[in-house]
Amino acid sequence: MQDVSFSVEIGEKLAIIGPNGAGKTTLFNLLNGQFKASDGRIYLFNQDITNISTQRRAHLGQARSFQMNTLFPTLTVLDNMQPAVHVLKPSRFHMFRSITSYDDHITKAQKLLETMALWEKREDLAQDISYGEQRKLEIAFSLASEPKLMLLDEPSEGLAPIIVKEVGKVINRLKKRRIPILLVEQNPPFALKAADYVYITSKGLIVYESTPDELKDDVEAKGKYLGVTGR
Amino acid sequence: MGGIALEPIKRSSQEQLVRLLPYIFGLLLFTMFPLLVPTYLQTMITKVFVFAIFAMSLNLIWGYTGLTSLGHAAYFGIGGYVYAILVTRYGIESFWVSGPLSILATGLVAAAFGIVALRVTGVYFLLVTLALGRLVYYVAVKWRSMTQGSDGIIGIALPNLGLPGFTWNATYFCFFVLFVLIICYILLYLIVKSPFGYALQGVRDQEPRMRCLGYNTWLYKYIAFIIAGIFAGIAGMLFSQYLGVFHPDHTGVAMSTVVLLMVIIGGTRMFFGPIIGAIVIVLLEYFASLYMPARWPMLLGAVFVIAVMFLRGGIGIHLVRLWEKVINGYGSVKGCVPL
Amino acid sequence: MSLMAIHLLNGISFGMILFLLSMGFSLTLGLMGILNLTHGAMFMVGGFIGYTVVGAGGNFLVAVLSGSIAAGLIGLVIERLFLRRIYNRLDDQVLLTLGLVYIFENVILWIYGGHGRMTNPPPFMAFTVDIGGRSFPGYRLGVIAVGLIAFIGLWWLIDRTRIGAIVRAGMDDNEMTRGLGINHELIYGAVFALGAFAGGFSGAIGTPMMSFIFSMPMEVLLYALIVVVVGGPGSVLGTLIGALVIGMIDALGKAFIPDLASFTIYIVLIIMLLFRPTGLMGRTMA
Repeated sequence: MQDVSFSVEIGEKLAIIGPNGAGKTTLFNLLNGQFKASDGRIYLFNQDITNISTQRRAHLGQARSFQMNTLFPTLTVLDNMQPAVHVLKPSRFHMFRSITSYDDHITKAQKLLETMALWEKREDLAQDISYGEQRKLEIAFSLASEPKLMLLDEPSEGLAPIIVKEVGKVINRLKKRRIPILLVEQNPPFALKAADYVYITSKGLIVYESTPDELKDDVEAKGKYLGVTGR
Repeated sequence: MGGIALEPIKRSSQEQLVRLLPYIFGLLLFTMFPLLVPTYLQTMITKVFVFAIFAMSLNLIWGYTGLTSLGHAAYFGIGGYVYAILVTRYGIESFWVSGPLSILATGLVAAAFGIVALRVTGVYFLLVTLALGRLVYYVAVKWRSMTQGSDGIIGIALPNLGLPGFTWNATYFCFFVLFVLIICYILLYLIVKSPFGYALQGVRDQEPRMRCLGYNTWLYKYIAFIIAGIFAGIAGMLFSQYLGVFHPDHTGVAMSTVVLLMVIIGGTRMFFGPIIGAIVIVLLEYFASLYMPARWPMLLGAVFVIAVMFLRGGIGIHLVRLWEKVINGYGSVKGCVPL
Repeated sequence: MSLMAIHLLNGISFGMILFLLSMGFSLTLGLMGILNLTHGAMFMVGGFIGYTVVGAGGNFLVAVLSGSIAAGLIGLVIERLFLRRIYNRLDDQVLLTLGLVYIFENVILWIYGGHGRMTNPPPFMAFTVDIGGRSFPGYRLGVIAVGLIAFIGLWWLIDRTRIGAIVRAGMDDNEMTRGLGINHELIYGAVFALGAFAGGFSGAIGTPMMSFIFSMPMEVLLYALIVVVVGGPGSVLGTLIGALVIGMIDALGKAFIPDLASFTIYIVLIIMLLFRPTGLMGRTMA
């Protein structure tokens, strides 16, 4: 990635669109601290986070969903939530108390699972629920750490259209909670619907930026970057 | 699988009793059996208990944290040697002093080695633990003034518990080790079921994910490494009391290998698996020592090959499946929860 | 001064043995991602078969060749019979090859007993060279020459040829090479056998330099490991540098601090990991 500069404001939803290999996931890995930036700075709420570790960034309020499911397939849905609801509490280091005895944490997990309509399935193994439900669980997971910034990596990837719609609703709900969202997508219609502002990337560069409405009217840009002709 | 989604989280008392049954059986078996058998079998059972602790300690970092250590006998050896040296060389009689001191020493060594070993991951972690184990072995061989070199330390007495009018016999010692085993079992079980233990398993399965959630995954691995070292040290200390001698071989690669084999035979994903593995391997070694002592390493090697090629998941998982079949009748065998 | 030169030459010749040994280990590990703990045992197989052939009155070159070919064949069998089924399962590879090490160790003990075995250098190399008034065995100089030739050959093969490119590509991206119509299984089998061959070869040419005993495989394996940690995996030049550094440190350690000689390489390992975990060549270790 080079020459990329943008910012996300509170309550804003920002989408980055681009084909495979455009550097979207690389960008996420940089923002997230998986990769080290060789040049340039990254700020989170005016704090320079360029050189701090991934886990510290999470404590500062940055959460991320992954493109590929990173759930624990052989644990139940509820157990999947456990590490996420403990992470901000000192209890994450507790060694001699059963994890099922933390009622307030479980209540919190329940609330999150209920918003994703997953509470009924709490005792199912994560590998047995549908792919769409797994994606929702993934988002619930990231929400549990009370993020102040959400990075969503291709939330609509590989989902049936009807589930894509549901994921869109989930994202709208996040917006109501005024959590700023940064979204990367290969699916332009979804991104255009979900976001307030769109960047288009290609080969590691940002080549276009506008609001979704402007982009819809800009026939030339659509043809050039999104392979769409007409309206 | 599934289909029981609406089951309440809190289990009924009857269900809890059913869950406890295997433990009650196991406890009865382990307590009654030593009383009913001749002394030589008692000592063998004692050995099983010692190795069960050792194997469970390895399973904490291997099965639950995903770190394969090829040098776990280093901590077994430190525990054994420090205890032996304190008792025979410095004449510290009381177990309540020498015991904690040797456990502390093991913890410190594990803390130092962990910093080195956790600099790398995967294959290199494994090889570095092998090298560190080797280092401890060489110290044991070369530091003759302290460790008696390859002669080994002899004359290690059974622990002095400071109870007036109490004298040891094989049966008492067997129960002493069983008692320690039960305590270790409970402590490790609590750890595995705690938020800390869940995080360890998260680190094992999805380390990048755990980091993104905000877990300092290195610290978790490091703490688990130290805890595993400490429990291995307890096993080593008991082993030195059990045998009365302690030798560099007890801290060598062969020991690390045997304990790996116990864990894989029992099953890395089963909490009690290592105990099963310890029973199987100690029995096997006993029969090998009767009929083909010179070929024991070959038999051991063959067991490795068989375990890897044909016994995936270990014996433990089959026992759990059998148990669930017995309990549930046919049908709803709930997916084996890997805890 | 001449004494120092002798120690250094000892270190370099031992380093060359280590280079050949570690090259095989690094090839299977760096390029195939297979951790072959039997590599030390391959070294022993090469050494003991070489010893047997020489003992039966065979030519030294025949002995070296039969030792290395035997190791290569055993490697091929291990790969075809077992490892092929457990690619990408690191733990299983470890346990399996560990088990095989035990079997090899015990078989060697069974056949050769518990004594150390050494061979004489071949007659055409049984001369000594005068270095500043001290004699140095010509055989060791020969080993240095063989090591250098092997280095140039391997470097050319892996970094410069089509075969090397295919091997490197195959290890980076299975799908791609399969798409190109390259027989993946064949490459894996061949690379693994080549690695074992290198291990056997280093063992066979090492027999006139050191005493072989059944219990050595793990020790030998650790030398290979430490060379790879110092030099970085999968690189021919890195392996050479690592091997020479370790060979030298080992030789100097044995000469000047004999009491602590067994520790020196482990201390090097610990220092490397603490201060330069990517190896001298700066490659990352997965």
